[in-house]
Amino acid sequence: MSFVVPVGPQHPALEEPEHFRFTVEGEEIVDVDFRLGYMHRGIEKAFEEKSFPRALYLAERICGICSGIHSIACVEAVEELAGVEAPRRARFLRTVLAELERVHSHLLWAGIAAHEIGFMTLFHLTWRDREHVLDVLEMLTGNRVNYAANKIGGVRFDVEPKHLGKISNVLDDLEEDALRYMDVFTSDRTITARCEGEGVLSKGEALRLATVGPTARASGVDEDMRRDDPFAAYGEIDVDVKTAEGGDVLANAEVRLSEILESINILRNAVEQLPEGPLSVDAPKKIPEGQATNRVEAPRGELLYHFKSDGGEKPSRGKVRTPTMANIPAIIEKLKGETIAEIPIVVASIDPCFCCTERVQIVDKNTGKTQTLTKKELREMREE
Amino acid sequence: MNSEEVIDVIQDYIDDEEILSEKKVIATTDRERYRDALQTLWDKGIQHITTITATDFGEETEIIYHISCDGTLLDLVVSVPNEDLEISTITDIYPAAILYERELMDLFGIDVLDHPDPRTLVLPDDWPEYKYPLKKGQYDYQAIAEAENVSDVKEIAEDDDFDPELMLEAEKENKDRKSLIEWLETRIGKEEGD
Repeated sequence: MSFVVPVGPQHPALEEPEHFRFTVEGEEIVDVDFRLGYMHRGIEKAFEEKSFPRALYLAERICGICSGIHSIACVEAVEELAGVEAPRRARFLRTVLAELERVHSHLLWAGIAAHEIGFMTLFHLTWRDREHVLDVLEMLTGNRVNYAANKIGGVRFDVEPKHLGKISNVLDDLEEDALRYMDVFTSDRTITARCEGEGVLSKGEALRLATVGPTARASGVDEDMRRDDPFAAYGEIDVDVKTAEGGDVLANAEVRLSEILESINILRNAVEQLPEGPLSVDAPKKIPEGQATNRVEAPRGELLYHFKSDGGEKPSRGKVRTPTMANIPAIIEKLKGETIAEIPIVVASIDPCFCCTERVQIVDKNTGKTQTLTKKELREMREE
Repeated sequence: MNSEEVIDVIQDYIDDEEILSEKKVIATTDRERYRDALQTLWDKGIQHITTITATDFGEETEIIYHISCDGTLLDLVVSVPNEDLEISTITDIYPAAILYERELMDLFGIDVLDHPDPRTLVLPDDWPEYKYPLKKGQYDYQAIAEAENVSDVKEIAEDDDFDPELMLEAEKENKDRKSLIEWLETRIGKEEGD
């Protein structure tokens, strides 16, 4: 007999609620349906009501975790429209910002993954280390999130000689920690038992569904906008793209943890090669008529911004495609054939901006009887 | 694949091209040939569709298919007249376009023909029919922004022949919000009576 298990839409702890409906036969998931839009804030429409500099601050508020990369993607699209190019030093500083953000975002993911499988010690350790990255970001830009670090034509922060000591100390510590987590994730029996072979996405499916970012790379798809379509200063810095073969949750962890190590390398190179020069150039207030499309590699994957200007001070159209949107078909594919107990970790494995397992309802399709489960009960079911 | 190689592949199916850089290219085509262009790209092993962007220009709606060709971003532009706002699905060629096409139907009212799953994606279930948030000139945004509760917003959004000038006039006559809402209610009530 098949049941429909609705999951979501509200979870008070994590952003971006979403609603899933799992059709299950016994424990096995045979079909998945979903509903988006609970967090649709009309930002694309709001772009049309804001001047270009203010659109930048709005873009930054799309995501609380990767706010810096949204602002970089937005500012580079607007710069292309305006026909200005940020100075070389500004582009290197944007790279520093993007990589610091990638490190803290991946550490956050590692923590959430550990939390979903009940490994609370690891959750606390990764989030403790994430704080050190946030400290560096606060030192450089004045904010832990929503850095307001970019402006049209350049950046609004600088890496000064007095910052270098702290940055280098944090990077050294982080490298050590990331190697340790890599070791834990690949050797700990609790983790391998829960993550190995779960939520598998084959390379063919990943390509067919246009999956992006670490989710695609964990399935062996060799794509990374930092190398393939360089933005900021990535054209001048080597990026070693990390891939894994398994396509399961463990491969996702491996890719993200090795990306932390690669980001540390990029950060060291960027800070070392930081060129002298101005931080910004003047940009016109009125943006010439035209359109610009820009893609960047956000921590979760390819992020696209498209802006149109009709020659005024406001965009006539602003379009954003976030990586989670592109990865939703992949979640569906990953969940088919899994069990209810694996829902939290498999959904978390693509690092979505939501996880909504706080309230689960089990509906008996034949009688229409509804039973509500809490997250705690769901966890207990998993342990049985 | 660089921009020129991308253009070579779809040369037969496009009217116009603009090479912005080695990794960015815009090509213009029409409703008859865009599917052939996309099919040719897919056959060449280009499987990555980044997204679909639509823009309402009043008379016509421009639809851009953003295709990632090994690092080069192709913007394939198709224009569709607004009085005949329909386009065939590309999900049989690019399966990943399924969500992006649902977004087009939701936010622009574009009729995507033969779409395998044409349900609402982002809008609420009780959203008024034939109202599309990203089309131009659909709502009185000022009134929506100032509305005090959801039912007011719904009424303003459902008001079919909203006239901005009439709204301005109403705002002049009714200085406070309460009388403005009352005025709106009588007007909507009158239309329902008709």
